[in-house]
Amino acid sequence: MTEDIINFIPQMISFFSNILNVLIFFPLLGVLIIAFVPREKTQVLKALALIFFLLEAFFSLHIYFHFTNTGVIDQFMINLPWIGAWNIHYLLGIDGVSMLLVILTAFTMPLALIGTWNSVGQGIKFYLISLLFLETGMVGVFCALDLFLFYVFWEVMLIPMYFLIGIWGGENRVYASLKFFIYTMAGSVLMLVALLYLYFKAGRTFNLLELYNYRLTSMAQLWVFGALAFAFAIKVPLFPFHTWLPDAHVQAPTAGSVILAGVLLKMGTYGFFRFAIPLFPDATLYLQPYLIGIALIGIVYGALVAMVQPDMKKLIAYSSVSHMGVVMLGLFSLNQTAMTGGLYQMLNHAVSTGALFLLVGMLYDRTHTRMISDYSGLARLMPVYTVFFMIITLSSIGVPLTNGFVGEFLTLLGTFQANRAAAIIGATGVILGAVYMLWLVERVFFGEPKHTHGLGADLNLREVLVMSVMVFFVFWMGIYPKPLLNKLERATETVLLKLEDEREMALLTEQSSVTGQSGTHWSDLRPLVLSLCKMP
Amino acid sequence: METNIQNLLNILVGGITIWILCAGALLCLLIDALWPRKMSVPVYTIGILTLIVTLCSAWYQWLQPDLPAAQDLLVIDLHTLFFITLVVLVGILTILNALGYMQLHNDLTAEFCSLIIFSIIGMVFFFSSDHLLINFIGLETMSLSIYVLVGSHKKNFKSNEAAIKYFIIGGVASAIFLYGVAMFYGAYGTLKISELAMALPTQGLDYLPKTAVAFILTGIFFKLAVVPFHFWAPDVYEGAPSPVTGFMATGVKIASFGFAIRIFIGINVLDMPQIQNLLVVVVVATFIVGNLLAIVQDDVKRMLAYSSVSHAGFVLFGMLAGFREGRYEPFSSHTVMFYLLGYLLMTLGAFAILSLMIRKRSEATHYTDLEGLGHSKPLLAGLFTLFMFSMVGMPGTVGFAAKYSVISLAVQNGHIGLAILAVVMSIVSAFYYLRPSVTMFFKKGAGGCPVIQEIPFTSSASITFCAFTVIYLGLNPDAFIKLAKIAAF
Repeated sequence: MTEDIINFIPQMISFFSNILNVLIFFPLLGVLIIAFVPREKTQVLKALALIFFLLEAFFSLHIYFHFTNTGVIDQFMINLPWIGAWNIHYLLGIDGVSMLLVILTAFTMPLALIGTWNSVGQGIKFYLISLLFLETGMVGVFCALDLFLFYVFWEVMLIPMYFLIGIWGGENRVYASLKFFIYTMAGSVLMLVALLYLYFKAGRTFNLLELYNYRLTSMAQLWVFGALAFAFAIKVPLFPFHTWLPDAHVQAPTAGSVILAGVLLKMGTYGFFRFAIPLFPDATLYLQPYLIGIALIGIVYGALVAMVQPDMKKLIAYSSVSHMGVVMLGLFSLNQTAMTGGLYQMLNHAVSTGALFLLVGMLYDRTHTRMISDYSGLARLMPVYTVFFMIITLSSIGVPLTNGFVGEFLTLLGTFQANRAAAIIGATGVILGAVYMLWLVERVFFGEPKHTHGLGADLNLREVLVMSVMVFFVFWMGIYPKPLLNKLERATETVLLKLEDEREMALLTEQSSVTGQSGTHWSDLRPLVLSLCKMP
Repeated sequence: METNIQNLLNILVGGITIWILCAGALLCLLIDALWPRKMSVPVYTIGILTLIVTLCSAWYQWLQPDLPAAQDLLVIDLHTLFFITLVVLVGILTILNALGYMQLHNDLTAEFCSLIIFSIIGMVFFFSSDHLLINFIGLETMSLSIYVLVGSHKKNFKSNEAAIKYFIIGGVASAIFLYGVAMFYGAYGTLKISELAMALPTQGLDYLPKTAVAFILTGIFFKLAVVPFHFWAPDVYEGAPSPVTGFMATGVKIASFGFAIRIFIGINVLDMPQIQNLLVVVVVATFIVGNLLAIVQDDVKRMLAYSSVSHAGFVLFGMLAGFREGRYEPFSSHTVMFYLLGYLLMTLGAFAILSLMIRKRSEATHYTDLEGLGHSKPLLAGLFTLFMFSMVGMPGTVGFAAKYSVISLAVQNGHIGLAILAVVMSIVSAFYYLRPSVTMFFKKGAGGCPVIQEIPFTSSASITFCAFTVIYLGLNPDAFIKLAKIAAF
């Protein structure tokens, strides 16, 4: 007993010498400290939370600078036994993709908080606690390599978001928060059953790195992939499962929308990239055309619906559906260019859509309306605001020199090599994107100035600061994407190599793996697949 | 002569937990009889002490290298000790809840304490005896005490109604149970489970034992309130004082499952395909009906009544999940035991908070009563939400670990269809488990005084204990799963 106590401190020190543990548990420390500050002291609470978010962002730089780009998931690994009875480990580790997503998370949080500094009045303490708790969950999702641990973070993260939407949301917040919660949970519990199936088939292990070397039969892969894809598709969200998103986005407070668009949606595509594709290559190849089809529907449908929205936030929400479709298109083109582009597009979407939500939030704080028809000629009334909005709009459309261009271009380039029709349809999404965004700009910023009630001064210093950071990222990621692309490329290489190995294996044992009369087998796709393998 | 004394000594030492309980209950009763209505505080102290000593002696026996040899009527094995721990824990938490409740209602009666302990004695006999008649006596001791407890709000119309209803339906259930027992006796001339196990043919049972099993099952299903024997539950749960409801929802179910595991593993009746089909039907019906009806309730207590119906279904599903290729694996009962532990903690935590809700000197558990609680008592509302999230099965709480262990067993043994039904139903359950949090936090309070004014010390003790264990077991269930594994047959 005494030994335990003596050992406790060195154990803690060695536990927190791993940067990923620090990143995961540091916000929880913030929760603990903030919990003891009386709730009347709003400024102290906010300042404390901001310090925690900024320090977290600072710590996250550590993983950027100490990162070795090996392409496989081996950085900052930690493996501790957790629940021995079920062979569950506390297993963390990152590769280039998860590293960038962790950094993205760590930077989104302080920006979201500063950008909405005065938006939340009542119950600020619980609000900040929810945000900090949310950050723990999000970082955990991107670092977890044990499927059980991943599931725990994935689900736990729902709770703070549920409260964020439900307590500080708009008129229809109860409906939106319940819808968000139940939709996401519906996907994830089925995923749990699928993961359990995999766990028992693979000999009682949730260790992702071990599972990478295990293959289910083709038929089982389809089912398990289906369950995982369902969970991730809801989160992304892909076309038929997207209905929770506009509700959640519109009702959520600005910070909630920013985090939702910036980080939460990325978990879906991250899940596809990290789990669904490499764990179930047969199913991936078999379902590739369908998933590309769904992604295309999402791109075009999202853009078309966005065009006719009267509410700015809803417009941006539907544009998210469209943009995330591009990400999915890139991922499921299954070649390196497109996949890298798709992953890069994840980061771009976080920057540009996050910034757009912040901008709309700033306007909403002043006037308490988000209806496009309530505004006109803002360019003359709020010139600084207009400049920022224009830059972000261009980035969202994907104009060269902005970040959006790099992601969309690479995605479409890669897709074109894999499947021309898909690339052509996907490209219409970019055009439609320009239509709805520029039309929005035209209606809101040009024309006769309209003094909407409450529209006061232009952006203040705080808001300018936040937006400048965003604009900096827009240009940096647009002009010099190489350091980021490098990291993504190596990671996609690994995944694609795995797929290729699988194909070669399957070619050898072609006869034995065919099951059922379900039509197309992966081997029917072989010409396409082989052409993919030759990609540069 | 000497062997007789030795025997008696063995029985005394072996059943030490029961003797302690009996002594405590009688002492409580005696003190109350000698100094009526004056000694409530000492009585409750003695009651809690009795339970704690029982707990300690049960653990002491657990740690003994050799347990007392199988007795004639009482089997003290690890299974029994595990379940004794559970029901005694239920007893302690219930008495703590009840103390807070009675303080708020200004209605402190001392016999409450002894009744709780008597019913715990009944429970212990119910699941620890090897003789069906003793099991029955245990069942009756348990039930009779609870009939009185349900009606202990003497001036409350609903409480009286609940007591009568529960008494009549419980009586019918007991009679059916006893009929099943009688059939066994008629068929094999013995009521000892160990002897029945020998007497029963393993294959092709004839109709008499099948009917007997069906009757005994029906009796248990009544007590568990699984569909289609659940109709009494919402009314009785609503009418009974909140701490008693918590006691019924946990203690009775735990004891019934303890008995079910013992008899079914003891005489292998579960391996009959008819019984498995019966279980499948009951589990599916319970999942669907229990969860759907819980959604439409407007009273938190009624909602929790239906939720306990669906939890009982989940535990039964845990039994069903233990079948591998048509045979029940006794070892897999550990998932059920772990589930019951988790269920106990989160349910009693929720009922501890429910017990505090009072408006105009009577219970106020309607959803509208919860409005604004998130602002006036944020911590308490948060803890109630925690218990609700645990019941949904959010990771990080014991509810998740419990549901996970059951679903994982089901997937392992190939019951994937049922596992999917179970998780789909837990999505449905999110609708009603989230509703209290919606009311407490998302709706602005309608004004008026909040439903919870003061929090007595005893209640906060039990709430704290439950909340702490719910999270601790959620994050680190390892040790307790291992305990359950050791205790499983």
